[in-house]
Amino acid sequence: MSLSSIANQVLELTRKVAQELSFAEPGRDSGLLPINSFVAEIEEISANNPLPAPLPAAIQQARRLVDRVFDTTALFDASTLASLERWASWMEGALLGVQEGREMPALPSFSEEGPGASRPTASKDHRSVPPPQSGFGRILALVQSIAQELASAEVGSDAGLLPVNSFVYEIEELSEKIDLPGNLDRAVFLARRWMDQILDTVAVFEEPALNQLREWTAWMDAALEQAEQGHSLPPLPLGWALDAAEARPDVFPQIASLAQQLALELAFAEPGKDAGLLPVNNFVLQMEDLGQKGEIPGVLTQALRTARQWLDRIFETTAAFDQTALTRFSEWASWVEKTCEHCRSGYEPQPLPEAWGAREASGSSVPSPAHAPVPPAPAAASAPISPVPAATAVEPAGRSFSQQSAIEPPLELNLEGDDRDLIQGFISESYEHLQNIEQGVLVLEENPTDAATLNSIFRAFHTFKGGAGCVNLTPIKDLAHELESVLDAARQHKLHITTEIINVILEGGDTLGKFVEQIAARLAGKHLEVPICIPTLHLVHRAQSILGHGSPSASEVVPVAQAANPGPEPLGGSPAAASAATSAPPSAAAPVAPPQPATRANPASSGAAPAVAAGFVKVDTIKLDALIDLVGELVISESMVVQDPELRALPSRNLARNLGQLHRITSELQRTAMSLRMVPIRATFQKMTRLVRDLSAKQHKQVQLVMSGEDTELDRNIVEEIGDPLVHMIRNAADHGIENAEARVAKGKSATGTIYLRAFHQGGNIVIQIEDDGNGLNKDRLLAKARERGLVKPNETLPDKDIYELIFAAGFSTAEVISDISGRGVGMDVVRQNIEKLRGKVEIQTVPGEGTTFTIYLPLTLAIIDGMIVSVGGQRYIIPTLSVRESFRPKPEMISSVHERGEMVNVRGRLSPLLRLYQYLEQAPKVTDPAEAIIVVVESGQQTRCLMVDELLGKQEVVIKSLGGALKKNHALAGGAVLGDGRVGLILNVDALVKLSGNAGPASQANLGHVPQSETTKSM
Amino acid sequence: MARLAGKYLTFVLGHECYGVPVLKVREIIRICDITPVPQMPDYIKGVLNLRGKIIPVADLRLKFHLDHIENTKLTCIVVVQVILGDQSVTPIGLIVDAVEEVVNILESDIEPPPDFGTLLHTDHILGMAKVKGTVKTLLDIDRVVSAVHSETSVIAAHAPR
Repeated sequence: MSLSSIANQVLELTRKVAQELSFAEPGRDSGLLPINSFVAEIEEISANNPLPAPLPAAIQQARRLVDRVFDTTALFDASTLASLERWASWMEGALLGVQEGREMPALPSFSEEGPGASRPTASKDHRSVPPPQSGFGRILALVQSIAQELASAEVGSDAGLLPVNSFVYEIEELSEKIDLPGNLDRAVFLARRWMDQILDTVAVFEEPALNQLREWTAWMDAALEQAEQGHSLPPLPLGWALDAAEARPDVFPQIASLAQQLALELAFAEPGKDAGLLPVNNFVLQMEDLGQKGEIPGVLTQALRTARQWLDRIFETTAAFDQTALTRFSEWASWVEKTCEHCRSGYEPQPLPEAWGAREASGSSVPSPAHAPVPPAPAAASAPISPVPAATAVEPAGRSFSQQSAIEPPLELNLEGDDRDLIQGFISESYEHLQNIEQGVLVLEENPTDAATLNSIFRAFHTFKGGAGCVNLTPIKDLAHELESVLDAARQHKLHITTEIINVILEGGDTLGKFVEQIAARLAGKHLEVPICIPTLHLVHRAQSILGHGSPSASEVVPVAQAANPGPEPLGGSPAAASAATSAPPSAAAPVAPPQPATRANPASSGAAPAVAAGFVKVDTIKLDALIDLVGELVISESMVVQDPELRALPSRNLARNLGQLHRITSELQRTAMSLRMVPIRATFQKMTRLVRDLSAKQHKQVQLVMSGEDTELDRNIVEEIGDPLVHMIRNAADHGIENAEARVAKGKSATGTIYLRAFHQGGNIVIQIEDDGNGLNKDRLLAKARERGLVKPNETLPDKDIYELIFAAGFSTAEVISDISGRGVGMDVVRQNIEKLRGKVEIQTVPGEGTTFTIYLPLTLAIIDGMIVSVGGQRYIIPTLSVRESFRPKPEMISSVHERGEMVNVRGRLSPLLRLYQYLEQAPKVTDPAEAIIVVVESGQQTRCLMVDELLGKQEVVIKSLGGALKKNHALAGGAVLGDGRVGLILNVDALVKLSGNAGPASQANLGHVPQSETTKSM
Repeated sequence: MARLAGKYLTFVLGHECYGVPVLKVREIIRICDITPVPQMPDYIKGVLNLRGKIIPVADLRLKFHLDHIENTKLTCIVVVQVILGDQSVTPIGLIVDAVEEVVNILESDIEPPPDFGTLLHTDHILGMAKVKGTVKTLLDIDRVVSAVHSETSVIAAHAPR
């Protein structure tokens, strides 16, 4: 066969290739197989017939191009197509030349990997404009550009960072197109990660990163060269993989070898012995570590977890292998080894043998937790709640009791056996009902047709009746029944709600409250011998008469008290007065507890808006406090763990992450726990509504109470404690503040006086404001009274503010007429004491003739104070920041002494006594010279003291804890706090310290705290 | 001497053996950091943090006027739950040289506290128990501690009983 005809054959095949190529598209495989077979045919021809020089090489190149397509995606890509096209056209030209006997053209490189592919010379000129090649060659050029940039990059500077980044980016893009072989792909991925790390953090080159990148360029260079020549790729340097914590391809051999070692270890293990157990455990641990470093398939993770479970169980139980465990582990080891190989070679890993899970459950000697006896589920809450009769049928009005004798039915209380629990349940529920009744009635007063409120009161009485009937409390049941009937009639629009009805209901509620109070006292074991006798008949009769007549008139059965009440007041007789008058006769000995609002005991649950049916749980406050204590302790333990120096030294990122998570959870838990203590002030405020209503009736004044901020939340303890002071102040406002209607009208004010009761937040405090639009405080009268009592010297003048403060003095009252409401002069001093006990303060603003505002500032919670931590003689003490005025290191000339004993510090011209805290605290101080110590200036009232301490350690919020009954009497200590390291720091009571040192007098100050004389003299 | 029989936790102070009713004992903890509290009798060593609760700690050696010794490895704190004069229950830690064991003491092994006259008040002693040939002093821990309390009080009234 002549060369010409051979060339013709090849030419035809080449044209066919070119034809196929014209239909081929990147990303598709259409045409690939024909091209492959044409190239194969050409190869065959070339193998059998000698072709002129560059032609065989060209054919080889075509083969390589096609093979590469098969080796990778088996789809064409743009660069390969371009190369093949170029090849085809060159071949055509060359073959035509052969036929015409022309010179053979030089063989160009059709692909970037062609042997003749010219590498860009590593000169600076080329660096930023790599020649437009494709594939490996282009990557190589980019790598070299990076190397160039890195050569001029400097540690600590970002010069070159962005070019390098963009080159890496280009390489990445390329690598996506041409699918680099394993390790190269990996290396590109690593480079991207490093760059991301650099850019995300310091954004400048740093020593290790720079070295690593340089190493990378060298490796890439070599690897690309190897790849080009078809050699196998060099392995990735180990350091890279570990650094990146991304050793996917590498973990499998390691895990496999560990599994082998484990199997070896098992060969020596014997049932019933622990030989080999620790090494096995160790291997599993290592595998787990590897598993965390690299990405391993789910089954392998599962397998590791299974092994861990087995091991844990062995350790928990016998700490020795048994036969099952041994077989299991050797099966496991071989499975892991096989799976690793599979993963490595890219096969789908086998699923986890099911037998493992099954055998796990039936493991002979290894108890499985699944078989552990499940503790019986706690029986459904069996609260001793008296069942409520479902029937709502109401007997026809007033039949059952009309025939009853006029003798008050006694209340028979059976506190034995099961009844006790039932009664307990009844009582604890009834507080809520009572409150619903009271609140509802007050709403009815405003809006007598409010159906929802009528229903809620009706339901409350109904439940009351049911509960009482259940525990045989007949008088309660009867009374509740009658009131319920009245309400039912009103509900069905048979009756119009009138003042009389409201009064009956209110009094009925009060009476029921008294019963509840008395029964609660009996339950608590008090007054057991005294029968409970609270008159109910008059109320029953009144209710019956209301129903009987169906008329709002109440004139017939008006109780004595109301008759005695002078004046045609629209609101009728005060219920309190009425019941006080009527309860006297039958048994004078019956101890009627002070009319404490029944609702007080339960502010937490009653604070919830009654309409909301959302789930509320009543929790014992002791449990709640215990929970909060424990959470506080948890937070301290957590900070001890997190701040542990040994743990901090560990370089584990995982640990850091987990600790961070722990911290977040504990803080959240603490916040939630603290919020559990917070209850809305609503319940306390609502009691004031009732109070104002009663007061205005009694005083013949028209007073309305306007409230806002009832939902403001306060610490439970504060809500409980603030009630009494508020009652005092509201009383004062109604009694002294608000004028009677005529006087108001004469002054041009509206006849109805208004008391505003507000609660709101203000800068970390809760503020409660009581404002009245009454007469204001009378400055002259206050002053006159104070002079009369000798509180103020006759010719002494006081600033206005101090005059108003006089009302807080003990036994001070300017009321001309002492009423039974206020004016006895006990009150405001107690109010202030109570508020100060809550670490709050109270301020007065008043405008004569226009009104008075009392503003109470309270801390958010009683449990936490902001404290300054100081050290004295190695111990830490906490001074409440509230009483710290300043702190400084004094100059020697600031200290002066009296009789060489009493020392004073000159603080900007004001002398204040120096109190050497270490003497009182019985500590050996670090320094005894005030000029070397720190002075903390504290104030209590008008007095200041300079406390001398060794050091200031910082400011911190601390949870106040009681020092316990034994140490309560130590007045100079306000309590203790658990500090960050778990030790106790004592909280100093500044008021007591000031008082103590004041009483001792400057001269005998050294004796304060019974300091041994020797130490005193030494320190002076 | 009614119903003294029962389980007692016994501990050592010097060469003497004491017992407290085991129901009074809340826990036994190792000696730990105690924060001194000023203005207290010397046997009140201070307070410690027992899982978030601050409890006072008394050194029983000093309370019973024994010699002070340095803490050893065996020194520990017995936390007891005591009932104070006002019926309130409070925990308090007692430093003892070493805790021995919980023994069951029979009524027949208990004798009333001896009368030392004015030499020694014994009203805080429930009785003397003979256990395995040794004599253990059974303490009425409520009284031991209430004495502690009354002495710490500022008013320093006479110790009850």
